[in-house]
Amino acid sequence: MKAPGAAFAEDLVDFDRAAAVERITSTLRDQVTKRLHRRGVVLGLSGGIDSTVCAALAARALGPDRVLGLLMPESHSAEESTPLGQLAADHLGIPTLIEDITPVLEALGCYRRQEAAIRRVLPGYGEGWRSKIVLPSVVDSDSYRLFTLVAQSPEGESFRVRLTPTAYLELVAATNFKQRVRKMLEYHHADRLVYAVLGTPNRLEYDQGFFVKNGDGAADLKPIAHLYKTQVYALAEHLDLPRAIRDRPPTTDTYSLPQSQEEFYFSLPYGLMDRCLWAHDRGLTPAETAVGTGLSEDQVGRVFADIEAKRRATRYQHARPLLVEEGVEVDA
Amino acid sequence: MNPVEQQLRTFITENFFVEDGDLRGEISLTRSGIIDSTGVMEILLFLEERFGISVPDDEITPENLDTLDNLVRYVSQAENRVSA
Repeated sequence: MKAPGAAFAEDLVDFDRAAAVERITSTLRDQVTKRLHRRGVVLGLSGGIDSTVCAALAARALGPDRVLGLLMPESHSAEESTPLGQLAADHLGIPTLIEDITPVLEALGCYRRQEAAIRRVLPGYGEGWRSKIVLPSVVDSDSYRLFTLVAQSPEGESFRVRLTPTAYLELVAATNFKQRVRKMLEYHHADRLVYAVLGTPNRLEYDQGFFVKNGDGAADLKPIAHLYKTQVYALAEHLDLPRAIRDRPPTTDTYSLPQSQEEFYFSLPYGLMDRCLWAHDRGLTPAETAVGTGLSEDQVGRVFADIEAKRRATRYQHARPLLVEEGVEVDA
Repeated sequence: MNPVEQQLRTFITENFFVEDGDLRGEISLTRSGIIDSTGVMEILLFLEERFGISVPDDEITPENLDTLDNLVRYVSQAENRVSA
């Protein structure tokens, strides 16, 4: 790879962090108290960088006692998620509640439906097995990027199987219960406390539709949706958030085998994905972007095509309910 | 219209809600928003079930699958490979 151009995308890292924090906190305070007329915010704390930065910003904006952090593990969650979420809350001085969502997911048939979907392509799958779905790299070839199931038997034997559309859709639909149950609990506590629900997507996730509609995509405000992931990490450093959280690799923490966001959705490390999205947003050509990222022009072309394809495919994720008659919408 | 094209055209128009008159042979199915990656999976399954063609990973490319014309050509080539 070529050395990335030094000046390329410098505002991803070289920006006024104090001003960014001030802008977000003053906006957040205004939105919660004056527009939404709520007394605080509730958010899920996953132990990841996005929710921790959001909690820190909300605590600065409203005071720590007006931010409720929910820790919502389930049986597939990584062991470190709850302790890291608690670490974030303790660091910020915000109250937390632990809501283990495993019994709710069992009652909904989440795990049973996941296993049934997987058995469509891997009939022996069942108790004691673990799995995830992965995408191939976007830069390596022109092939369509289709999900593959990666499974591990209780004896440690690994399997890779191409998913059929039915198996894929059923597996994702069952898994989406996790984000939707968490959101239901966030709104439960928001209702009880007259709080707003704070959503934690960064720009990459928001732009590329990396969220579940009416799951983690639902919220009353999304204070970091304009920030590239690189900038979220920069704010985490500026806010002096715990090193253990800043050093944790981004994960979906959704499937029973560890799954990076890279292999599930973005196909590139977030820093590189950020630079490509930044360049695409500014109308840079693949040739200009290649100089700044160290990728080849062809590779950048594939990433740009993938960015556009995801925007097309996830428009539905962003869409509000459609009405027959215009002018009926109520402005909040 | 040859029978392969007719079957593919019927499958695409019926499954992805595109008007028959709008489905020109050279139009990109992905860039025009007719299908997304799940749609590609559905087309792969259709090729397997209708024509008995199991598409290997390295052939799941736009040049084989992204237009009706490309699909017709790919299916014809695959059928010729089987019968050869």
